[in-house]
Parts: sequence; C-alpha cells; structure tokens
Amino acid sequence: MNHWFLLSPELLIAVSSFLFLYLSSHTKNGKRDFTLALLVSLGAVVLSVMTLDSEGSLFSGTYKINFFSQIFKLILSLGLFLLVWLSRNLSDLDERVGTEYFYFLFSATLGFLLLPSCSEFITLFVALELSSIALYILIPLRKGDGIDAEAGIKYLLMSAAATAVFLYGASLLYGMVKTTDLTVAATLLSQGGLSPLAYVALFLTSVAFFFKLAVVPFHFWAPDVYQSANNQVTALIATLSKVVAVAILLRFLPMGEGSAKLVFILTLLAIFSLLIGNLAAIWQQDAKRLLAYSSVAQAGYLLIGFVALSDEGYRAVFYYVSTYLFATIAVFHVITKLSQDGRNLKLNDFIGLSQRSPLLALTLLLSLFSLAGIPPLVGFAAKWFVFTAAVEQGHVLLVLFAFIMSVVSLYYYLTLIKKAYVDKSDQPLTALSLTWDEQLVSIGLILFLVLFGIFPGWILNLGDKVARAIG
Amino acid sequence: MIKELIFLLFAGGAVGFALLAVSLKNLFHAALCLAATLFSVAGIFIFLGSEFLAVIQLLVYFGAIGILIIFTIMISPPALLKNETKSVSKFFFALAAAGSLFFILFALLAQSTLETETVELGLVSISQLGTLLLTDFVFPFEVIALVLLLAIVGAIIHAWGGAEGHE
Repeated sequence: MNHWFLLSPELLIAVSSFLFLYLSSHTKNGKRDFTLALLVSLGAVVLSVMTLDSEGSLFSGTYKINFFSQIFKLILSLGLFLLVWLSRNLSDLDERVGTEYFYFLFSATLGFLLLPSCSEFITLFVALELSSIALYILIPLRKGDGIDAEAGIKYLLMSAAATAVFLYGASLLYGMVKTTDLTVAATLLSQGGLSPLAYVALFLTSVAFFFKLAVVPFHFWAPDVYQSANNQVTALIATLSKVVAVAILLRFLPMGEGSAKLVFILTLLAIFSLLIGNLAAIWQQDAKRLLAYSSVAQAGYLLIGFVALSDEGYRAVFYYVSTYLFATIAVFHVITKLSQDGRNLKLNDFIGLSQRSPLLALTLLLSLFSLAGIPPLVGFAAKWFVFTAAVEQGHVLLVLFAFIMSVVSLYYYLTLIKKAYVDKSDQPLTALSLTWDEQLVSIGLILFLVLFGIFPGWILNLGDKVARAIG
Repeated sequence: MIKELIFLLFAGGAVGFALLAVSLKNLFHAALCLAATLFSVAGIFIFLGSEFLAVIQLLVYFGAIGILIIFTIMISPPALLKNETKSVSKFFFALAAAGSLFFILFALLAQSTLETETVELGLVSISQLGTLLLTDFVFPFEVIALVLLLAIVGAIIHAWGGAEGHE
C-alpha cells in the first residue's frame, strides 16, 4: 500500500495546523476556524478508520503502523473531533489568539497521534516534546490574572523534569541493549529475565507517562493546571493526553512481565493514587479541581490493570481508557455549556441543572455515574474487567482496597449530582436551551455510555486485538 | 595520566559548577556558573570523541543560551530577583529524596555490568551524522522542525499578550 496513505491521519492534522498558522496572519474569524477544524478532525477520524487494518514500517523502521497504533489514532481523532466541537465558544481566550488556539491544539494532537506509532526512543522523545510544548503554550493561554502563568510554569518545570527522567532511563536502556529500537530492546531485555538495572530503567522511562496520567507521586501539577487552564484545554489534558500515556505504557510495561519488583512498584503507585485522589477530591469546591483529583484516582484504577501484567489486564486497560475518554468529554460538555463565559464552575453552579436543562443534567448524571462505576454504564464494566484481570493474577487485596475506594469516590460524584438534581436554588433559575448539535452530542454520548456498558463485547474484542499487537 | 587528569577537571567542573549554579544566592553568579557547567560538558564531549557535539555545545549552549540567560537577568526588574527564604524542613526532605534516589541508582549501576565497546576516537564525523539524520533518522529530524516552529510561535504569542496586558 502507498506509504503516504498510511501516514494520512497525521499528515492531514499536520497540514491543517500549518493552515491555521497561515490563517492566523489574516483577519480573525472564529466561525471559519471552528468549521474548518471540525471538518479536518472529522476527516482524521475517517482516515484513521480507513487505515485501521494497515500494516507498515516507515522511515527505516522508526515509525510503525499496525493495529495497535491505528486504533489509538482512531480514538484520539474521535476525541479531537469532540474537543474541537467543545471549542465552539472560546469566550475566555483573547479573540486575537483564536486561530492560534487551533494551531496549538492540532500540534498537540499531532504529537499525540505520532506517539503510539513511534518504535524507537529518539522518535518517541521528539513526538513527546511536540505534544508537551504545545501543552506548555496552551495552559497559560487563558486571559486573566497571574495565576494562569503560575500553573503553566508549574506544568512546564515538572514536565521538563519528567522528560529528563525519561531520557535518563532511555539512556540506561540504550547502554544495556545498544539500540534505540523499542521492539529489539524488548526482546533483548526479556532474555533471561530483567536485571535490576533494567527494571529501574524501565520504570524511569515510564515516569514521563506516569506524569501525564497524574499518578501519585507525579500528580502535583494536576489540580492547579486543571483549575487555571481554560475549560477546553483542561478537557484536552484530561482526555487525549491520558489516552496516549496509556498507549505508551502498554508498549513499555509489558517488557517487565513476570518481574515481581515491577508489580510491587505499580501496586504502590496504584494504592497511593487511589487513596490520595479519592480522599482529596472530597474536599474540593471547584468542579475542575474535583475532576483533577478524580483523574488521579482513575489513574489508580488504570494501574490495577497494568499490575496484572497479562493480556486480560491490557485488554481491560484499553477498554477502561477508551470509555474513560468519552465519559470525561461528556462531563466537559456539560461544563463548557454551563459556563458560557468560560469561567471556572463551583459546585454550587450546578444547582437546579435538572430544571434548567433535563438532557444536560442526564448527561452529567450518567457520565459521573460511569466514572464512579455504577452498573450498567461503561465505567462499571471497565472497573469490572480491570478488577477481574488483577484478581486472576492473585492481587485480591489490592482489588478489595480499590473497591472500597470506589465506594468513597461515590461520595463526591454524588455530591455533584445532588446539586444538579435535589438542591434548591435561592435565586430564580433561567432555562438553558440546547441547540440541535448540543442535543445530538448529548444523546450520542449517553447512548455510548449505556450501550457499550451493557454490550462491552465490541470494544473488548478491539482490546484483545490490541493486547495481541503489543508483543 | 594527563588525559585522566584533564577528564577529571572537566567532569569535576561540570558537577561543581552545577552545584554552585543552584546554590548561589546571586542570580547573576548562578547564571555564570551555569555557563561554566555547559563549557565543562563540551569538554566531556571531546573526550567522548564527538567534536561536532562539543562545537555545537559551545556555540549554542555556552554562547547563545548562556548569554541569553544573562541578558534576561540583567533586563528583568529587580523586584523579580527577590530571594525566597528557604525552609529547613523542605531542604532536608528534598535532600533525603534526592539522596535516596542517588543511592539506589549508584548501587544498581555499581553492581551491574554494562558491556563496553572500544570505539575509535573521531569515528563519528559530521558527514556521518548528517547522513544518519537524513536517512535513518529523517522522521524525528523533520518532527524537530515542527517542534521548533511551534516553540517560536508559542513564545511570540505569550510575549505579545504580556506586553499588551501591561499597558
């Protein structure tokens, strides 16, 4: 097959990002930029579907196309499409940077799209930098006071440190296997079991991605960044960035299969993420800060799938992260609609949502129930698969602890739902009318959360293929 | 013998000046120490047989970036140079964390045997580097172009917004 066709989703995103850069020097036109971005991201979805079953090794083997990379590209482009749609109203950005916003958004996504295909450390590092630098720019882009710059600098410094640790780990791995090729390194390393240095190096290379997932103790940036970045950028960090981190961890961590020490470290990380994420979320009054801590906790559940270090575990992780993306986007759909001027929402801003817009309230209810893991939604199925995979490998106590923590998490998710459905407002409520596309997206997301929760088989089959493609 | 001595000079310089760069109170002195660290690293590159990297290190890091940092410090308003008081407990906590990480890595590196190969000095020529960058590593090379463009546009956007905001 034509090599350029294999690269088509990335090429489309790259070319369109240049187009936005070109348009930024012309008259600003928010409507034009939004329509273009929406069409391009839809095109990327179509191209990802078309290349789904292709295989190929490009550029002297530094870039590999297979089912693993393409299914993640499909999920990422779907996420990008919804994120662009969320960006239809960028009221908290300076109008002068409206076009550049799309340039940065598409550059970040390009980095994300490249990452699952990179089969070599140098390419991986460069793609990681592309996405990280775009995020450094996007986080402080919101117009406002100095607090935005503070979160941006915090993210920049911590991310740079995480990248440095990644490079150090990669250099140790290179010292052991004398190649930067990931597949060759994986086979060489696993010969005769991992040496202590190898698994420490493996852990160090994973740190950059633990950082993106906001796993404790690499989570300190999350609450501040979630709070001070604008709602759409927060949605980008909360969704696409996490999916990519999981994709790369799915390539790295299986190298350590059978290593009890790696399992021990991952178990520790999972326990602390669950504990700190869930307990800290209870005290939050800012909706996005709450979501930040909830994402720390969700990273903990994801890690339980990695702790299993088995094909069932990888399959469960895939199911978990692909459904988590849509549940999170559903929450941000409600947030961006509710916060017309782009400000941060307090929990009290959700009061009376069920009367203002029943459909939006239902979207919030189902997505939060899904994050909490209530049957029959996708979040329940995801937790179920992750837990069973871990129990099969004998991690009963860890799963028991995670189960208790998910009961704790119900408290803060239910608080938000109670605000939307039960609490009475002392001020008169204004009706919130949804346009046809907002209704369509709400219904689409609700159907996704319910249908794939009841019939998880289709996504699980994809997960099986992903687990097979890792090796 | 002389060789080892010079190597130790550069390696020691890199570590020593790096320590000074993060511990000195005066920001200007710290910047000078950082430049000295970058210079010592260039020396280490020569010992590793990559003259090209050493030259680039001197031109870009020691020359351009070093001067840029010093300029930034001289231009910044003095209010930004305020010294934060350091908390003792934080210092010891950081020391314990960094120290234990160092100890673990040192112990691991000391007990594991990394195979070493003898590579002839001067083996990596600039033309070989160039050929590699445009053949085997052409993809990351092209992506770096995107990264640089992105970084430049981002810097302009933020500098521009800041200037407007202070009017």
